[in-house]
Amino acid sequence: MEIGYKLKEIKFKITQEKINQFAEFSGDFNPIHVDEEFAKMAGLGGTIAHGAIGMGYIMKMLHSEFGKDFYERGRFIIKFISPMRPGFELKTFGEVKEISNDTIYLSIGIEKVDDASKLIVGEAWIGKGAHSSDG
Amino acid sequence: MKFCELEVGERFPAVRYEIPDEKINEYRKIFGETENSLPPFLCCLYAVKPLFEKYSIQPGTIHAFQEVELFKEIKLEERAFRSYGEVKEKYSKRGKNYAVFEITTEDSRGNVVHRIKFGFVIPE
Repeated sequence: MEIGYKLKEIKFKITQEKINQFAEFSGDFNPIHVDEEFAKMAGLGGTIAHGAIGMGYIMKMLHSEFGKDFYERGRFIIKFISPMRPGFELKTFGEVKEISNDTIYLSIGIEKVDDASKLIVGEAWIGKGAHSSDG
Repeated sequence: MKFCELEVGERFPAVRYEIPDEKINEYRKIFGETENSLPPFLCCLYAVKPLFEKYSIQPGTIHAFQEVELFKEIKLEERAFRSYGEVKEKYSKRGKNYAVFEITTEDSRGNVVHRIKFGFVIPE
């Protein structure tokens, strides 16, 4: 693996059905996700997906690439910078930025398929120096 | 959960739980097939239990950021876990109130499987 290497992307679509399914799955029925009127009143312009849906796909991408190493020596930080809305076609992205001390450092996130605008951005570390605390 | 009532360092009681088969099936429906290990994402979702048992989340609370550290691959048959945590940080930035919660999860033998930090924007 070299600097500039791009991880295999995962494409997915946000639908209200998927959001509702995730609300059932997680038990998170915050009305900003499932109640269109409440979400509009809250100034969000409509329902937005749980950020954790994006996180789930990012974890899947990292595991697909790094396997057990990610599960045992992985760390990531992500920020939810723009809402994932019903109808959005999205994909994960990941790119190796640095390799040092047996640790791979990557930029990661979720972007829209049509214009590549970023909705979730973050960083990941895989390897011996990945952890910031003791397990 | 009210911002003014949160105290940094305040701990929430540990909870024990088991992840049932149906949750793994629901995970597969949303994210696709799993392999031979339990997706840590599932454990992360369950790990928020102590947080939600301690505080009721106000409508309008927004999940702003997330940090996850993974320490151990979990075999698919491992289902029993214990999670505990604390209020790690609280601050205001650009007119918004942020709270950061840290949760650690252990397997049935006491091995740490992950440590996660949730950052929320909390309405007044």
